[in-house]
Amino acid sequence: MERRRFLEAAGGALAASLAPRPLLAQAPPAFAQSADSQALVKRATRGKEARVGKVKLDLPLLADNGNSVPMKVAVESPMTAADHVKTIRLLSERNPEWEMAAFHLGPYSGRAEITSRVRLAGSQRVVALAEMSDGSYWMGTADVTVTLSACVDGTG
Amino acid sequence: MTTRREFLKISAAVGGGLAVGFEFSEAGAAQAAELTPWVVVRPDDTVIIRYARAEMGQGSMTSTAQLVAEELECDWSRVKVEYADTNDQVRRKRPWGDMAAVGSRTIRNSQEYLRQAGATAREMLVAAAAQQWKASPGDCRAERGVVHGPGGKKLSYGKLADAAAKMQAPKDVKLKDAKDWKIAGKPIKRVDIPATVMGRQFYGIDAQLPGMVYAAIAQCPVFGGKVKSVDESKIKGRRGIIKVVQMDDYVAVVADNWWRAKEALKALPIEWDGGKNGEVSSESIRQFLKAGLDAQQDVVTARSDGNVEQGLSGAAKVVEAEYFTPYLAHSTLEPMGCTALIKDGKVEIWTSTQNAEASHATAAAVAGVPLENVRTHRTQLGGGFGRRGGSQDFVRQGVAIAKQLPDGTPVKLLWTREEDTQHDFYRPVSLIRMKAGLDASGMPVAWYSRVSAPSIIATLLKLPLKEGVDPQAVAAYADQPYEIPNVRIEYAQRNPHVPVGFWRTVGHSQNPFMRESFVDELAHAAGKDPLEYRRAMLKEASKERAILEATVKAAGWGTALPAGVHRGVAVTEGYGSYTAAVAELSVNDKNVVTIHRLVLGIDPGYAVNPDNIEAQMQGSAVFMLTAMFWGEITLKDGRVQQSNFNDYRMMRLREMPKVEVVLAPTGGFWGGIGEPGQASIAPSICNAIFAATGKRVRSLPLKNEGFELA
Amino acid sequence: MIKLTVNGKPRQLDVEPEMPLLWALRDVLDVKGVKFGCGIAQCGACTVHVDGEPVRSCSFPVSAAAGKKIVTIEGLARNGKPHPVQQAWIDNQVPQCGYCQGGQILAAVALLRKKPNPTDQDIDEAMTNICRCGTYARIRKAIHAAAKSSKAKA
Repeated sequence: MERRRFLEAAGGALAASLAPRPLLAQAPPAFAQSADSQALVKRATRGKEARVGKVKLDLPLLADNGNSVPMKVAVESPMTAADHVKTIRLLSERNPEWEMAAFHLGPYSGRAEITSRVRLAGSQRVVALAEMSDGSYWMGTADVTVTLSACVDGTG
Repeated sequence: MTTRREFLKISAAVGGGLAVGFEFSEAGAAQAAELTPWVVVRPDDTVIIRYARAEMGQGSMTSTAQLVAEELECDWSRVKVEYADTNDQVRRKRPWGDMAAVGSRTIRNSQEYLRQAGATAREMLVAAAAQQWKASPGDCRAERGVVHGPGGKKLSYGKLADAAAKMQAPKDVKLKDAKDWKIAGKPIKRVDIPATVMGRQFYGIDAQLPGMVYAAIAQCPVFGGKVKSVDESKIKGRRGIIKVVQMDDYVAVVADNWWRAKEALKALPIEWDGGKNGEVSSESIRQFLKAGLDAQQDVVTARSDGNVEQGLSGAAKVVEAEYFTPYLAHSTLEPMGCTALIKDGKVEIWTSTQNAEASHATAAAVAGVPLENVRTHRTQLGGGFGRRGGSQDFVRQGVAIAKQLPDGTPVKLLWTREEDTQHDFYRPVSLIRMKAGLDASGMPVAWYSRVSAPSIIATLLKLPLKEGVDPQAVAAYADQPYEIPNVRIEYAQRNPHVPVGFWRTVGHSQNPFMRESFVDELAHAAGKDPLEYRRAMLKEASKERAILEATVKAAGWGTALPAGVHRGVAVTEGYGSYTAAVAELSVNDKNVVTIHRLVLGIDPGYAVNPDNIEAQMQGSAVFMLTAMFWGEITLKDGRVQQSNFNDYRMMRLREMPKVEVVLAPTGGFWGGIGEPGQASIAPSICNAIFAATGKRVRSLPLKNEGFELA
Repeated sequence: MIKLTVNGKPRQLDVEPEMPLLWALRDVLDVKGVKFGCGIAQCGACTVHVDGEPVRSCSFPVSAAAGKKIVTIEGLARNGKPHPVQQAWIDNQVPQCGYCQGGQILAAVALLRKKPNPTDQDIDEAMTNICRCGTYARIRKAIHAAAKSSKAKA
């Protein structure tokens, strides 16, 4: 696993990702389809389309704090030389570093599955983005509520 | 595992019981039809409206139900309110959204989806009736729990519920205009009050389970310190003692009775290691903050308009002052506590919490079980005030202690008042420098504030701060409404070892005192009437101006007062609402302050329950007067010096002044109620004290400035 | 064995004589309407009547209650109907969180027994229980209302 920091690149995303947005303002059950996460994906694929599917991201619905949240990503792939996952990236709407982590894989990986812990700066939608060996992108998302940060969403 | 139903039966049998006005979800659920997660209708026409957040006296359990019922067009006398279940919340992927009652935002953040839920359920009932009558839904209408159709046909909600539950939920529903409200906007009696006055209300502390044991706790008196050693032999053989639990930073004694546990804990020798923090005192904290006022580094700018240096250097007059506010404890009357039961990989907790989801997630994390294996039982809170939301220390401890006991042993952790006072997450201490430049006419052309204070968000929640600014630390400065061309607000984040948290009204519990007192100083320096001075700086069309005008009008500002009686005024915005206060008081030659009248104005946009708003404003007055006259948590040797109500004083009935509430909702927005009311009170009192004595109060509490409350 | 009467029912318990009445009621006899607030007789959340007198049960040894009649907030109602003071509390929407209110009501009942028509000063002197939510104005109003309603009935 490799954890890349995109501090400079994050400069531009910082304002957008930390801008308060009315979480759950209208529909309480789920996070509203977020323009933020779509923009993040565009940024990560350099404008290429990413299709929803093949990627399963597991994060707990609630986390008591955002410091170490368990997560699991699994991508459907035979992981052969001809057809495999090249990278899996985790994108955050609200973290100061919008790309939380990048995992590089290859046929040698055997399975396209990663278990790790991530740090989340508050409740948000997290995107797992997989780049395949054929250059296509696939994604899965998960909404996490960091319960203690609920105190500061909105106007506190 | 004791099921919830069993538990309820047990508690009912012993008289702990349940509230009259609301109930838990299992009872009678079998025959009820859920139309939306918020609305359940029973065959007998009872309408159950679910409540997701917490009830701690702020009244939202009732006012949110009023909003649902309004759109549902049901019969209010048939409404019961019940708590949404946290286990269902997790299993059903959060159908109830945010469960936290914090930040005065229950109404303002959920009003839209609650009203939509009511309207959705109503449309489904109408559609079910129309289908049964083979009529067009447009020819049917709902009124007081009955759907009326063509030719005088009618069916009650209870008769339609089953069919309605099978109808497709409409996509778009139209919500009522507030002027057409019949249930919302009315002073409806709170649903939880009958149980309270009959002694049947159920708080976290009231959990009672078969085989339950009790835990008393002693935490390291120095924050951040550790347990060094415990001499268990000293309490051997005492009656009822079951176990001594030694953790990193606390020791708990478990017994068959809480009093026995607490008495044994008192007799238990514990050695603590306070480390470096053992040297901290109020004085050293003050120096630390003072250095923050002068520092060149580790300071960020929260707001910058124009050029403050130029504004100040070109000013005809410069006014400068330093203001201080102390740490404060929450002192909920029900101390912290949590009852926990771990059995077969499942966890149940009973606790008074402002954020049931946070409690739920904390219990799961501490027990190491999936969220689906946890149930957080909902109870009334014996006060919250921000103590039971952003910090779930009591749940962490309760579950951790349960883990130390044999599987299936329920344990009730309860803190003493002393623990509660000395292990709070305190309202932050704050030292602030103000500087303003006035032009020849006396109006401000430059305003500078630097806040030297801890950050709750950075230290308690450990969240990154946008550009280094904690919005609560600079609240009421960074968003101050006055028309001043050159403004700079700076924040020096300085975090002593004392834990800080959200205390009712948070940043607005202290910053408006300083801002509005300083505005008075400027008016005085300019030789102007403090009300006229504010009027000149507030846009005529602003909400601040409107609530100021409504309040001073009700107070009769400018009319003659008896000899020795003086007025003070203040205006503040916060939590989406606008408030103003006028204090009338006299101060005798011994500096005893008699408050003759306190007029409190609030514009919350829409007033969902006017009587409850009045109650919250009255309560805000008591809460703030308590803090401003006596409230301070001080430190010596790294420890809090106050311990109980004998040295951390609460206001009593005979001390409460006459409070008049001016409720002036202007519509078009949704503001909070529980917290904003406090914001304008302290400055209005201190400004009146200045008018009466010529003494400017720049530091709280007033007892340290030589003032007493009559 | 200590014997006492709680809300009209004879009860007995085997506990240390110095155990405060509060904990005997809450943890041994399962009477939960009486609340713990401070443990040092400052706040009055633990107020009960002992032979008609308001007592702060957190600082009152259970042995001192032996043979006496204890009334808690659960024992005020008659035939399921709220006591006039409880009714006044509902009518005036007094409680907020409600945690102190059982004690407040019992203090008010005791006051009204001694002074059926109390002045504001009588209320100031008798009502010393702490309410952290700040319901004092409504407590005063409700006591006056209860005094009136009792008079109307008499």
